[in-house]
Amino acid sequence: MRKRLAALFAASILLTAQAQAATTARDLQVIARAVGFIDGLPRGAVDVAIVDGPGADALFAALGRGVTAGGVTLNPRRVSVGALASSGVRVIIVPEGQTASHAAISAAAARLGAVTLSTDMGCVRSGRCVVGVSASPRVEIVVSRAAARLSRVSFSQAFRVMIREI
Amino acid sequence: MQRTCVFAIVLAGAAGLAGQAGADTIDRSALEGLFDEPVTLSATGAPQRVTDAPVNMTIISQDDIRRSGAIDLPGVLERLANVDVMRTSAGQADVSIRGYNGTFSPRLLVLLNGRQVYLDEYGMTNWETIPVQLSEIRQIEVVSGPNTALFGFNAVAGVVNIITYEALSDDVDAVMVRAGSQNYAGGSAVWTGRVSNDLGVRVSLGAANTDALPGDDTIARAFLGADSVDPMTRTAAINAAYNLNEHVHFDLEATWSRNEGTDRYTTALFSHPYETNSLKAAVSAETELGLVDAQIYSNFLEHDLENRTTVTALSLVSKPAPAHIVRIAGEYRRNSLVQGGGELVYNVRSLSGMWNWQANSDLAFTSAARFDALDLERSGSFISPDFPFTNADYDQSFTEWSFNLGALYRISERDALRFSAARGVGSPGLIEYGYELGVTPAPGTIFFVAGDPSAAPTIVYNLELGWDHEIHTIDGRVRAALFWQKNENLRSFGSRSVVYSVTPTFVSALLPQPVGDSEMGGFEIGVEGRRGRYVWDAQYSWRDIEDALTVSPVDVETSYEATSPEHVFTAGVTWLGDRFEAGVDTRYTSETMQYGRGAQLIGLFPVEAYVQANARVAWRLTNAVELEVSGRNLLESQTQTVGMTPVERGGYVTLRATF
Repeated sequence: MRKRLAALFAASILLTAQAQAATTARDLQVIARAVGFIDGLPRGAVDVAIVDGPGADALFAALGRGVTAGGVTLNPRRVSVGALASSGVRVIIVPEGQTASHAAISAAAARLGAVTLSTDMGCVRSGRCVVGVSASPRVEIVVSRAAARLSRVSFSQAFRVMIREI
Repeated sequence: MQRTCVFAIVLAGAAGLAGQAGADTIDRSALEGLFDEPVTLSATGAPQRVTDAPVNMTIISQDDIRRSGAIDLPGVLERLANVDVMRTSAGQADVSIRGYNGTFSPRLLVLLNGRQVYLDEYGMTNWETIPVQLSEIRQIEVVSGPNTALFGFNAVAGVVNIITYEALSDDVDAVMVRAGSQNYAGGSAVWTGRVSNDLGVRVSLGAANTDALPGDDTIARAFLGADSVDPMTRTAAINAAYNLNEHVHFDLEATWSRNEGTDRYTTALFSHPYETNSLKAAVSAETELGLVDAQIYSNFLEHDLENRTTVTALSLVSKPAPAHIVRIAGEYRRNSLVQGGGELVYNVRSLSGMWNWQANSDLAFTSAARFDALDLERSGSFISPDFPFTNADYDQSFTEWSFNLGALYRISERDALRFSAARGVGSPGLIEYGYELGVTPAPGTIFFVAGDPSAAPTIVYNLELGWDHEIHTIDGRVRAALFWQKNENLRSFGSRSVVYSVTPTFVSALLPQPVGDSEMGGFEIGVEGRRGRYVWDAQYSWRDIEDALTVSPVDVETSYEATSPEHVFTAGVTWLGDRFEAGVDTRYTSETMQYGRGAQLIGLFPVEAYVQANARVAWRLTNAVELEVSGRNLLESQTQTVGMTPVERGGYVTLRATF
């Protein structure tokens, strides 16, 4: 019985790890392109904070040496939740699996006036992240109006018309 | 005929100007890259992913155009089974969607970046006068079914909106030279220059000459007493795009084209050259309210008569709530036709609105409506004091409304259902209102071919159910549509003979005639995919047309159920190598009756079912240079596709360089 439970536990850890690694290179390309539609953010190299914690390693692995798409290059650096507010970044990527930190991340983003992006749609639905992205099987982009308002982030009108707002 | 053309464009202020369906100045490259699919304004006037469009829309990409091996726009469109292309002579092609085609087909509205290139004079499109090169086209958006709630009059069979690359965000430089059978010689050049980060310019030039077909000469000798004019086309266009700042974008465009050839219009032949020019200014602004687009353009056509069309339009696309997108637009159009000492003018004032409601993540509804108020007037003298109408007879007006309703339901990640209902309005062409031609066959007798100032528009109702299914295993999709259409008050020009007086002068006139109604039911299915190096597609279109027409004895040609093919099947495959491409496509068209035969201009004659095949092979000689050999109608030396001149086998060699 103990062995069975141990195996089940190990499997659940593995599944969780796989879920946390769900952010793909394709997702990150969509994130980079979406950043290009944020008002006031110049295209080119953009400093991006990757929130340290669960899922961050997988996200860094997907980023490789950086992602360039749509004229935007994501220059990532690992930032702890506590250091976010003083990081000075305008773009924060929230890895999956950090539900417990969403409130703190949102508060830091609001203080910075930074946009938060994630493949964790739950973060967007709860109003803690501004942009939710899913690249497969069809590109889906969801924006939380409440989170955007809190972070004083706005998007190009054409982009707004073509994505789903909640 | 007066040849001068002076445009007076007055910009009403930086924040003020837009387009027929928006000024079309969204950053398509960026949005297409983001969503990994084409983006369009042609469905609702708001920017949309093509898979979100509530209408039946096909996007023909630049890759599709290049791989088709087609040498002209009708040849590109002919790859779609629901598009009918009627090549009446070497230089004339009439295009319609889902049947009801004919010479000078009036039912398909054609636009270039939202600017109408449909010619209001006769109410038709001369594809050779469109000032665009195939290499500068980003995509061709083909809407099947009425969409007049967005585009206004004449978008009844559908809409073809040709979208070019953008001068500021797309760097396209290309040169092409081509030679082929029937002494074909042609070429084009497209150059894009970035003056600064905020100012871009694109210039394009095109030219083509070919011989008239032997059959064209036979008919022309019989009816014009001279050989048919060898087709010739010259076009030029310049476009400048300027970003005033992050939120305001300007576009300026000037075009010119000249086309010669011999055309057929119902039972008449013409050898009048076409000369067009246009000037357009547009501005797109992102405001707190939403996307504001404004546009003013003026088209001038010198052909049989002189026609100037000036359109001013303003639109706003806004998203006032998360699930709701609205568009409101106003448009003013002035259309004039100068003939002899008289000028016929109609002014159209339009107001339209669109509301898109995303009810949930899987279900969206779209409603659009438009009101058009047309006022007709005429001034000046007539060609003869015996002409049957006075200027007062032209004081006519009508108000028409149109709508488009659509629902899109995503059943699953792979399946979507589309339902649409529409009411479209097809306005009479200017000559149907006010043409004047007088003949005196004998002393004391005068015979006119005349427009009718009381001509009424055609109304088209359309219901459609569509299904899209993505198939990941073939990297492709299946698309199917079931539709029903009713056309009310169809018209036939020159088919009603009226005697106005007997003494002292016998005066009679041949006038446009409302001929009645026609219904159509139909079904379309298409599948496309990509496997390894192969790209392939197959499409089938079936239409069952039933006319309820009352035509006069002099009108022996108006029969849509006879002249529209019931079955069309197309299939094509292209092999894509690293430096080599080869492709073949075929088109089967079922038997029809068509106008004329040989030197017999009048009458309907049977045309047997036929199959046409086109092929293309291309070698990339260097990264920039490609050599292409293509052929069309390869199965037969001549194929009778329309009643008159058969289409001949053709072969072309093209050298293309892109930088």
